[in-house]
Amino acid sequence: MNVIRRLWRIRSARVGVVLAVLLLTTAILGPMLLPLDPNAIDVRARFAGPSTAHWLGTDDLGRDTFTRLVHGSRMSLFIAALSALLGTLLGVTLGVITGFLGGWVDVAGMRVVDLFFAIPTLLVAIGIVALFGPSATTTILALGIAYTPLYARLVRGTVVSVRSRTYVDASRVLGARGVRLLRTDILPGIVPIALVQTTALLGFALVDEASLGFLGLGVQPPDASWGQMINAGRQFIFQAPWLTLIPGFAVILAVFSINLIGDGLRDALDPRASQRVGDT
Amino acid sequence: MSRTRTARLLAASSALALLVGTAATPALAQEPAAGTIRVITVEPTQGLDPAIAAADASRTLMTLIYDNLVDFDESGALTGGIAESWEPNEDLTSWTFHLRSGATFSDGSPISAADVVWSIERMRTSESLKGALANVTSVEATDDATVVVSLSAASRALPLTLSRGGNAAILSQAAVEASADYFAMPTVTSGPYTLESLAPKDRAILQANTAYWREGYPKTATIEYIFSEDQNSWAAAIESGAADVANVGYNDAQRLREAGTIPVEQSDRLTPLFWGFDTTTPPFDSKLVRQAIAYAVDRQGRIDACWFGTGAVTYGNILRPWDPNFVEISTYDDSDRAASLAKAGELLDQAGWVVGADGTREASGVAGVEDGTRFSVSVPYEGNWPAAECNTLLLQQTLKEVGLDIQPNKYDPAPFWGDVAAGQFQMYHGGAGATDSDDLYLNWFRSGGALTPLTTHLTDPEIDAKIDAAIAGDAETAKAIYAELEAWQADELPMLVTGYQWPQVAMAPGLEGYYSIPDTSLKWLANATITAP
Amino acid sequence: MARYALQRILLALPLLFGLSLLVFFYVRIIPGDPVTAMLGVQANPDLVARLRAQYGFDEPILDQYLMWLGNVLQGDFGISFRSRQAVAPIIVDRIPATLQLMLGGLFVSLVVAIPFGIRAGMKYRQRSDTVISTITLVGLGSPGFWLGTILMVIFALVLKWLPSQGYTPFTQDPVASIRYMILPSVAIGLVGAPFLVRVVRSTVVEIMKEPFVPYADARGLREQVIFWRYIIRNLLPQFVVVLGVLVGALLAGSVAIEALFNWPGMGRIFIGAVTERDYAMIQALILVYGVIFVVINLIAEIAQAALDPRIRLK
Repeated sequence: MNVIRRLWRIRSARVGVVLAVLLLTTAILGPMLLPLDPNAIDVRARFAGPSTAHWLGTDDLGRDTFTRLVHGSRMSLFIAALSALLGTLLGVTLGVITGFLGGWVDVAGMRVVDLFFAIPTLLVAIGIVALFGPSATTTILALGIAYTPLYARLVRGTVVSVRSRTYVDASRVLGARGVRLLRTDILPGIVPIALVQTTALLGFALVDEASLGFLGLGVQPPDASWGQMINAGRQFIFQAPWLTLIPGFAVILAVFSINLIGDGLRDALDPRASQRVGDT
Repeated sequence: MSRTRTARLLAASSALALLVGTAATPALAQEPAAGTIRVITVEPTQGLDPAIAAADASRTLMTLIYDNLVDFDESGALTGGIAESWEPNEDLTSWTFHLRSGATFSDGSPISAADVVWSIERMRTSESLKGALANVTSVEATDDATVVVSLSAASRALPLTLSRGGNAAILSQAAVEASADYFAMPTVTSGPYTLESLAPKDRAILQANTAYWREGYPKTATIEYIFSEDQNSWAAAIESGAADVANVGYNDAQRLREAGTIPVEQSDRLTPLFWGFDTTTPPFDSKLVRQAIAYAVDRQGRIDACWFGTGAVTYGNILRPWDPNFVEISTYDDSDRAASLAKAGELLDQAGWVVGADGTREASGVAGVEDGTRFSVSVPYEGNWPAAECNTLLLQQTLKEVGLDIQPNKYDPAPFWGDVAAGQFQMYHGGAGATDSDDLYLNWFRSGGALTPLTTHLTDPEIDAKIDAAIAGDAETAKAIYAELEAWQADELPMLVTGYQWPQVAMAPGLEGYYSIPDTSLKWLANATITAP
Repeated sequence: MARYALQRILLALPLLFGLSLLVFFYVRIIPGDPVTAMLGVQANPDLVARLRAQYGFDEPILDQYLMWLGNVLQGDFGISFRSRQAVAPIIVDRIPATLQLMLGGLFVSLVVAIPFGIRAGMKYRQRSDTVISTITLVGLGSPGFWLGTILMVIFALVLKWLPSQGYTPFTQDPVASIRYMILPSVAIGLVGAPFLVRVVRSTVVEIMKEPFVPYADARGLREQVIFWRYIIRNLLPQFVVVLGVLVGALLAGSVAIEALFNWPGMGRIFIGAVTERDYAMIQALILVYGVIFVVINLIAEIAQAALDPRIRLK
């Protein structure tokens, strides 16, 4: 609660939260409220400019750009959220297990993590797409797995430092069972770092989803996602530049809001930064 | 021969070249070849073996490096290639080809009658031409400069078949037999250019064949053959000076024409666009289902949406109105869309596909299909062809109106046609070219035709006999038979032709002398010169 | 110093060994029969036989690995099942193009990020810092290919200053080569720059907290020179660390940029291989990308130690 209150006191984070809430509302409620089918083609109304019927005009097949953007938001945010969640689950699990158990498990686990570290994340993701074929599900899986190593390393580091603090050792001496130790001491210790890191992953995932979409390795047509829309719009950059620009702005806006929140969280969680809170 | 409007230089490009300077005057023909023309197009996905590669992507490059016995000129009329002339016997069962004296391969070795015989023998057993050459009984060299091809039945079409760009290649027997991997990097070749290097996903470099038989050709020393999977970027490449020739997208062609800075030529060759079917299994084994789709598809909508108004529609014919064998069919005229859709619905009901609870049709008494099975079909299209994607998305939406569920499936272009031939797809998007009615029916409808396994999948002795009779007969007989065949295919629909695409060729202003010909080819680059802008 | 470098190199060896294991097992986790996955159900039997022989799928797993590793160490990555050409030379031919693009991107990142990062750090929480930091946050969300598309439209199509795509090797024609590389380098460099701005900014912020800094402004030129030297000297080792991360981001970003600008680097063949399911190629590329990344990080570590003696004494 304290963290949220502190976060809210940071002006830039407040902007980020408001933007994120707006985007989420659009993505969740929008598709239900909009009357049009995002894939409905009307060849007699191609490249129409903005109007009351089509707020952001139409694309090369006469599909309503605004409707597609809203449905695309749901798809992109959904993919980003699930892949960040997957990365978090895998990363925290791996990090806690290696950090908590130590010994050969730690050594082996961290060596595997190091391996994936030797390959840039997007390339790991593309390698995974090659195995399972492109789709929304593969995108989530690929990005989730690709984000795991960095996350696991961070969590492990935190777990090791928490564990080495005396009070954890003391509770071990007192005979607390491992599970309880995890729940009472270790997990609370990694919550702050996980909050910041998962927020950061959301931002990466949005950009990476767009990249995979651009490369034809993400969401497949006719379904819309931001990346897929940018790529499909590119061939009509002269006839209808908005088809490329608008979904690009959507990605930028979403990542912008997420980064504002992320930076805010970092400040809010960092006790040393507390004196700075409120001065912006 | 199909009529061509393409065989003209654009006045704009000539005028501009004159302004640029004197380098582009005709005197250049006598000078040694110089300069580099940069072509941007797709990679030859099926390799460079004329016996195997039937896809346009491969044939386009092959036409530059392999010459044929018979060639054709800018109007589409057959002319001498490696054979200077030829004549049939009286009943068209034997053809004699007189080879050009002094013609050599790129290594300087002579193109002998033995090489020609060996090459034609190779074609006869090749995947790409065995059907079209099925009536060949023997190939003999009667002397060093004469080759006689004997046929089991009369045919007018032999010279046409031997002019098939890329596939009817004349090869050096010695060079091909010298290396098991010859076609990975064929260097000793008969065409205007020789292959210097080929880097996958990058480019091929072609150098003028200095031993080429045609005096003064090719006129440009080097062709940089740039591979790109992204057709959307090709027009931009020409506009910004990164390439000189490309087959651009329809939206770009329209834009370039309006801007007027980059000449764009339209080739109106016979290039049917079609939906292919697996007619051996449900649901497309039913003629009624195929006809229903023929009624339901939005033909003009496709032209407007995906081809930016270029190309043409057809309501039953495959041949175009200016073809000498054209007899109009308008069965599927959809000027009254509502009536067409109603008709499609009726046919589907009749075929046993009734509207289900969610609006999608399901089987009710369809032979070989469990009752209640939804009509849901995945339709693959070549992933590197933007207009094909548009076409398939449009199909999905149109057929939804009659309760059919179509799933567009963006497919890897490299194995696409191989998988078509292997019968992997229930329904698929296709397009290919033909030179005229003989070529079309021989290679698309006759069993064993070069494109039959990719288009109609027919093996029907009755149809074969009709095609053979058309090709053996005089013009009157041929016209009558083709009228019959046109009507038959419009009713039977072994494949559904909805119209034609007309390739849009954009050229840098400094490019002179190039025109696209009624074939998948860049061969006329041998005539072209380039001046820096 | 030499001892430290040798120690780092030796430490990298197990990593490379692990990488080889990872890549080796990669094709063996393909769902279903890997040969079918690679070649399709109706594959040419001759090719199937060659593929089975190349991977030795019927042998015990350890033999398979040793055979594969033996070949790889001799530079033999097998043949591509699409082009039927040997994989290794195809990749080797592309490394210069990718490295050239990365160097270009790195250059642009540095040129953009250093002045803005320093400015933002020095004017911490002031107007110019807010402006730069906001732009940075916007930049972090801009996909490289999207920026690249916009740059291409403006500079290649509207202004016609630069070619929209293509490549000429630097050794063949340096001027043409640079003309071709400008747009893709800027697109990729602008993706890397925001990360770098944030690092530079926070480093400068820390330096600004040093006690002598407030006086430097007030006291004449001499102190300013000392101040600048101090900033640069403190930034340098930081950079070297960041360089590793940045190179990773640039390598990943290069894939889409190469596709957009038809740049014949490793990314082009990587994407081609993925859509064509050419696993021999994918396998080799992942290994090569990994090795490039490990080597660059290694160089960064050693360079950092050379600049900052404290590290090697640890």
